[in-house]
Amino acid sequence: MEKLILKGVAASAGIACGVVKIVEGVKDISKFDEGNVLVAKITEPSMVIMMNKASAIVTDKGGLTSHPAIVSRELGIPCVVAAQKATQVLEDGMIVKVNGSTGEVYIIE
Amino acid sequence: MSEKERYPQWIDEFAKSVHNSFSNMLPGNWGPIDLLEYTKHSNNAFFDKLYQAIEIIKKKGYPQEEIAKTFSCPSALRCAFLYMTWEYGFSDHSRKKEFNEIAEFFVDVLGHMMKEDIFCLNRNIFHNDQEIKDIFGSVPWSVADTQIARELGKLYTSCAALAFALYRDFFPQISHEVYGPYDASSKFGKDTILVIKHFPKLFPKEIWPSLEYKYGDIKIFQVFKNVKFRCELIGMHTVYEGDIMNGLVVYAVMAGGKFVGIEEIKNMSREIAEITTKQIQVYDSMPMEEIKKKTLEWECYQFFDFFQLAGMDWRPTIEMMDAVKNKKIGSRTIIETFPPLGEYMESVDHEIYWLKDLYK
Repeated sequence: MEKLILKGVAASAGIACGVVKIVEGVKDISKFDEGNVLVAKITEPSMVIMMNKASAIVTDKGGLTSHPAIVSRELGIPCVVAAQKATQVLEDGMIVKVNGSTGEVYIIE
Repeated sequence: MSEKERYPQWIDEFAKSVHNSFSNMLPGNWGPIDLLEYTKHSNNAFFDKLYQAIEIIKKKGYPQEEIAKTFSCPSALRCAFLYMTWEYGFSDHSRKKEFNEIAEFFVDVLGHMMKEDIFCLNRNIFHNDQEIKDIFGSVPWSVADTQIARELGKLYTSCAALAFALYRDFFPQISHEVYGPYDASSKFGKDTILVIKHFPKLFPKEIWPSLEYKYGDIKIFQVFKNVKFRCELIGMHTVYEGDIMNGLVVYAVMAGGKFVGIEEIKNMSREIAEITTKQIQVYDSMPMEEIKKKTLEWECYQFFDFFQLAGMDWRPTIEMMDAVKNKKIGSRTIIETFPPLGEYMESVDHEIYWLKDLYK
């Protein structure tokens, strides 16, 4: 069952499901697995190894040409930016569906 | 000149591009310094250095082509120009005449670099038709698939991250440019476009003497079918319409002047991501006085070859360092909102008013 949990700006089209990992920086590399959904206030270079493994990216901040948006489009993965409270509402281990075409994030229960 | 107010047409074009770029970036939070606050303290010191260089270069009579080559890419010059306007706007305007000369000089250089849309409202057309034809003919193109498209995305992300790690949030365009779209239909059929991603100056030993790796210049050539592409004032701010994973037709990657295969591309992505992760941690232990010094270096490094052409030391002057030394400057630049275009163009708090004021 899916429940809409967040709505932000649709920044990179596509749909992906995965396990949420809240990321702050380099210290999170060891906990981030291939296919995880990267959730951050905003992405930055220290997250590059994790971005290259992510199935989707969701950020609290950012616009259509912010760093997470640009990178996601190049990687061909869905991205939702400006989701406001993604890092507060989502938690490590949650399974979510990210729709980068509509800007919606669903929790899968 | 505009009929209502007498100022050059390029100011309107610049206004539209800057407005478009900021509107799509916000809300923004950039580091590792509050650049707006930083520029308020500059006290014209950078203008004095730039003006001196321009005077020498004018006197020596260098052709525009040679001057244009001193910039790593057009976005580096466009951004440098934007930051210059901030510095002027926040100054006491005692260098109005000099800044007018500086502005017109660099707009001319930019006009020489670009084939159209010099402030890149939509397109970053730097190469002429013959150069594109030469690229079509000389690049060893390989057929792409979605797996390869994903690998190129990883390489792009790694290189872009390294540029951010070396130059942080305000100066990565020194080392990161995206050109296009160029019509590729003559070579690859109907509805195809060429996009070139270029990462020059990835090995800036002059500002990071301890760097040790082999990557200095990387280019990614991609031809897409049924994909629309546009970019902004800062060329790396790209937007696609269409499926770039399935729409990638052919590709090539050049590293250090040599074309490389897919296995090498995968290795490069991994290694560059690791280099980036190490480099970014340098900032964790850097005190604000050091960050200020580094920001001054980045500011001057935008003009590294330009100062060299003038026979000048590229590094910040003592006056530049004194202007920001011990001044209270925060670690983040936060811009949450941006005014509508009409308001922005008339606002005394923004760069377009300051530029138009040069002609009053």
